[in-house]
Amino acid sequence: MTDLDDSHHFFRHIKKTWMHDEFIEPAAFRLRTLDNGQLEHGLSINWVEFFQRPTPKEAVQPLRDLLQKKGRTVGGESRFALLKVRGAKAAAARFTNIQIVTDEEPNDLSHALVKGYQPFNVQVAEELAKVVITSFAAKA
Amino acid sequence: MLNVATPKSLSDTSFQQDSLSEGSTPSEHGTQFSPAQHQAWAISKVSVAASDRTWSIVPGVLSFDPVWYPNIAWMHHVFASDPPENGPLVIFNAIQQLYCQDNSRDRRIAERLKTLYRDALDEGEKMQAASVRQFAEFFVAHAAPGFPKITLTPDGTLRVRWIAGPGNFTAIEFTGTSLVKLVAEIPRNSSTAQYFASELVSNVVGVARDLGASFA
Repeated sequence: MTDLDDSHHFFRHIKKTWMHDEFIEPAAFRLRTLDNGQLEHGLSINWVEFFQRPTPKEAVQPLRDLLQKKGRTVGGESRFALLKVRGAKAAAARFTNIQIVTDEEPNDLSHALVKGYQPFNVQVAEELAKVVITSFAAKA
Repeated sequence: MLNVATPKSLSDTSFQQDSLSEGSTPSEHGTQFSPAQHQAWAISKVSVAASDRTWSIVPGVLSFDPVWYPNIAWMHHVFASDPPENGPLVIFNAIQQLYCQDNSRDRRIAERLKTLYRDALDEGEKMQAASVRQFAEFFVAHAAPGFPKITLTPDGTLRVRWIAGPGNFTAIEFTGTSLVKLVAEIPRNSSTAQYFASELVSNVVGVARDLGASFA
């Protein structure tokens, strides 16, 4: 695992059930509770610069294709929230220091994780939602 | 006991709640649907006009042919043997309960809950029945708060948020336990006070109001 560069960006896939109209519920940035009662070890995200596209928006389609190949449901009304690594770290720092690291999977080399905020799951999720730069429809 | 009858034909799509009775099982109709299919169908297809307490079946897109209209009384029996907090019947009842309130806010909430349930099925997300039950009871008991943003959390609990402006919101997460989660940001002069708390569902509105939180 390698830290993402502070100047880089990441996408968080926002499911339709985590939104109400255009509003993205900050809980979308919360770590899930696993069956054993523990929180998952990191928030699943995708590294935008990995796709080497001129703009983040142009990275949406290859990301969507990639997620669908992984078997993930990418509904037409879901969105990809764009955040900057530096901004996310600074926002979370109000409560704790987070790490944003690569977490390559065999079929998804852009996969990354936001880690280190289990004790402040609700709080950090609220802060991350505040630094969403923009969001893109998963399907144009 | 929920009293609902089976319409006689596809054209017979409206019937009075008072005239309904418990009926037969799907096997008598020669159709085998899973309980989950029945419940999903009922949730998405049945609406209640609270003004005259008339139930109506809304034609719509189905993934299978409804050769047998679901008998909700039968479904009630099916889910009576399940843990009550796990059944989609709880979600159906919550939607029904909200629809039957005599105010437009609760009917909007019921519509939103129905949409959210459909979306959760589409996305493979779970919706915790205990949370839904608590959510419905909360809004039935509290008429004053406005219509909030209503979403699911990744853990399947319902969360509502009243947003008055930047740095000014109140959020309640219905955990399904005695304590709900309260998050609020409240303007204080040129700063923003931030609260993360757990509170009894019966107290949460009063506690939040005492803090200065908005439910508009």
